[in-house]
Amino acid sequence: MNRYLLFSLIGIGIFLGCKKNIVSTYDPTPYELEIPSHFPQMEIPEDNPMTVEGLTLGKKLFYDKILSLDKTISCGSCHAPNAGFADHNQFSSGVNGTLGNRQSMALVNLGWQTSFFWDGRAKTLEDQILQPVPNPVEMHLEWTEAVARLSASMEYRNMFYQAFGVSKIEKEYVAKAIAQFLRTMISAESKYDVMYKVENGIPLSPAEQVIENQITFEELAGYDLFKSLVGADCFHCHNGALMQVQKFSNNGLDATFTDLGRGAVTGNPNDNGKFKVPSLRNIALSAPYMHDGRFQTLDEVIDHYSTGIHESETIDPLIEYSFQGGVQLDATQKAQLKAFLLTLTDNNFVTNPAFLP
Amino acid sequence: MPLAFRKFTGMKMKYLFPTFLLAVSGLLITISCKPEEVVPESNEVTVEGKIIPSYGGTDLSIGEVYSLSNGVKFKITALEFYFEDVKLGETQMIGHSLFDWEERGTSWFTKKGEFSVGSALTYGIGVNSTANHADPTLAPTTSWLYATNANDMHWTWSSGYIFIKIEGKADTLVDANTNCNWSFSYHIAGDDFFTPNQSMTVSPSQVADKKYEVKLRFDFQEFFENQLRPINLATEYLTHSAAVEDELTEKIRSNFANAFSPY
Repeated sequence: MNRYLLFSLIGIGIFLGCKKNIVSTYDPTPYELEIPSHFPQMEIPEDNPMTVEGLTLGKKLFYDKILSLDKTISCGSCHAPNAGFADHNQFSSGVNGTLGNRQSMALVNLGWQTSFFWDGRAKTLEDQILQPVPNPVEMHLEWTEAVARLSASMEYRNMFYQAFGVSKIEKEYVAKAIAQFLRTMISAESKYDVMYKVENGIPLSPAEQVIENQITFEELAGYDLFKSLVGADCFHCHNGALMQVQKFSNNGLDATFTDLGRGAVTGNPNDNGKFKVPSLRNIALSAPYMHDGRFQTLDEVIDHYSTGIHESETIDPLIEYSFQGGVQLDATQKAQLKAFLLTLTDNNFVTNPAFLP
Repeated sequence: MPLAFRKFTGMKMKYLFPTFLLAVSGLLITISCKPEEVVPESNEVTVEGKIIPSYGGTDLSIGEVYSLSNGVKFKITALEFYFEDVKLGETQMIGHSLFDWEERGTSWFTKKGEFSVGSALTYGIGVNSTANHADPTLAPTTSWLYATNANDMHWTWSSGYIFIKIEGKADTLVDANTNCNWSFSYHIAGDDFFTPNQSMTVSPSQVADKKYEVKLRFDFQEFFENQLRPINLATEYLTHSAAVEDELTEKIRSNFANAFSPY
């Protein structure tokens, strides 16, 4: 009898030893996203439902430098809160100071995007997240090594188990967790949001009514110009609550292309020189601008659309005044347009502790 | 082993095989006596609608250069439009369809159900005024009117949806060179330019068992070179349906509606 008891105890000991120190339970807490009243519903992938444990893990991974070759950079290094979750450098610095050739895109309202990267080479957020880690000009770490590093951490093993019920960490779970975190990064509390709600008869909260009273003539005039077909004519590509449409466009930056953009992905010459239309939310924070970060200021951007347009075979037909170099704004109009662009800043978004390291 | 347990085990072994045999026989009898289940034949049919952009009798490809009869060259970079209340016979195929040549090719709608496949096709072009000014985030997420599905085909709540979008490039200088650098852009919107009550007779073709296809042709020759209202790409290259653009907007709307025919 004592012999059986001894064997049983040894067996239990071996079993527990093989559990690799995972002492967590898998009972994830569903996370309900609060979608702003003037936004469309966000489509959450069926195979990656939002959970508190998932997005908590995602945030930790997003800011952890363990995912880069020399442990010097994290996702958050090139998507910094004070830069509207973009990068103030023209080209982000990868490990060992390696530079890419595109500007870091701002991470905002990603749950509504239908393509990712300037050239749209990723179709889902999860797919997008898989790419920067092994990219030689970014984090330059093979996924096998990244997974090995995470697997060596008891804290990560527990967090992955709590989030996904898995004892074996895989890169797809890393992507899912970070995607959950990024989907929570919703920006909808700028002065523009109040203007949008007023324009469309959506009720304002008391706090929003205070903001409404602070809207200036210059900002409203700038908004009119922004929407006007014979003004700045911006709204074809930047409109609605998200301040963008989902498309690729050649906005007249160059007559010939050193970066084919979308065309390099599709192989279609008609796509050469086209890049993803970005949201203008928090645009004042996310300088420099364009896919190659060529413009340092909003003034330079406005000058480009006003008089700096270059025609080419694939220029967007919506750049309607390309034949005269742009929409030809005068100094007053430029100032008004800039005043409106500044209303797109959402300070609550960039200072939200839930999104900060 | 206790004696009682050994006795029980021995008894069990003795009767186990006959009992098993009896059970299997009973099961077989039950299965064989079960009346054959008659699966009712499904009358569900599938109708797939397609719209084929063409020039005369030639099917076109998006982004390729073609010539009008007068030698002006053109290429289409965007062809998108809303159809409303598309019916085949008495059956609605789709409430609102959004054709997008670049994104979804020639696909128009797919309807499955139990109905008879008729030949009378009816539809409207655009979006009726009630739906046109409703909150696009409140439409069903499966509808093409829903905000994210409409994408750049919805401007603002006041102007509503773009009913018809045709964008492209032209070379209006007729010579041996091809240089399509002249942009044209037609955006038709506004309640006044909704085109209801379109109809034609089509011949749905059976492409498989209980599967039918309805094809329409959208003829750019009819659109650009309408006998009554030809479009001059050199001078009539832009409308966003603003009040001052009514004349061209109406011409585009009318030519567009007349450019459809059974394929």
